[in-house]
Amino acid sequence: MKAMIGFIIVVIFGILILFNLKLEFGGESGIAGEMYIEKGVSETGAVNLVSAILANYRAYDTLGETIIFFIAILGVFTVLKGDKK
Amino acid sequence: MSSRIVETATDIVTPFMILFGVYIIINGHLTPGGGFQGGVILGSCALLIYVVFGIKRHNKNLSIFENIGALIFLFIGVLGIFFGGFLFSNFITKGTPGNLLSGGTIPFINLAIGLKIGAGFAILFFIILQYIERGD
Repeated sequence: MKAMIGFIIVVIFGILILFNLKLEFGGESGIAGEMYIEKGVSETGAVNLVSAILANYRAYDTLGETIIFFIAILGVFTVLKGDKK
Repeated sequence: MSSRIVETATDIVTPFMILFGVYIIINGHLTPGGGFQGGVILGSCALLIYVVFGIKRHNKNLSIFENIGALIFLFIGVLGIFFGGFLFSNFITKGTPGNLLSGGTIPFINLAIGLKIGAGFAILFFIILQYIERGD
């Protein structure tokens, strides 16, 4: 019964999303994207634009990723290295 | 547990895997790749060694490398505050795009991330294999 209710809710909201939000996939690049393409090489000096964004424009994001990776190691360590009962 | 054929093949392949990982890290600002990708290759090299030769080859000091990588990464970011004005600013001269020594701080950040991710994956595989070897 609960599964049926959940399924109906998912179908109703799916139809609403499909017909009300006109999602466009792969549209024009925004202002930030054009800025990266135009000024990326001259501002960072790196030919690889992905690396330029990851390590220079969005290095803050990369810092967060490394912290998440560290926390993942901590979690595995805590779960698997614990004493056997 | 593994046969001599597997051990010999691992002996031959492992140096090239390490070389490829370091190449991916160092050329991160020129070709597709970077710190994360090269670090994962280094970590999978450690996994190969653990599977073939057993986890007794594990270096207990590996976590120090991970910490050093993270600290270098943060240190470069904090240096950017003093020399460039904001966190992770690119304060070194950029050089000519396309050369190996170009991109300012990007190659150094890639090296630090590669060290951190490679050591981190090695530790992760070590913990999981140790858990499997210990039994349930």
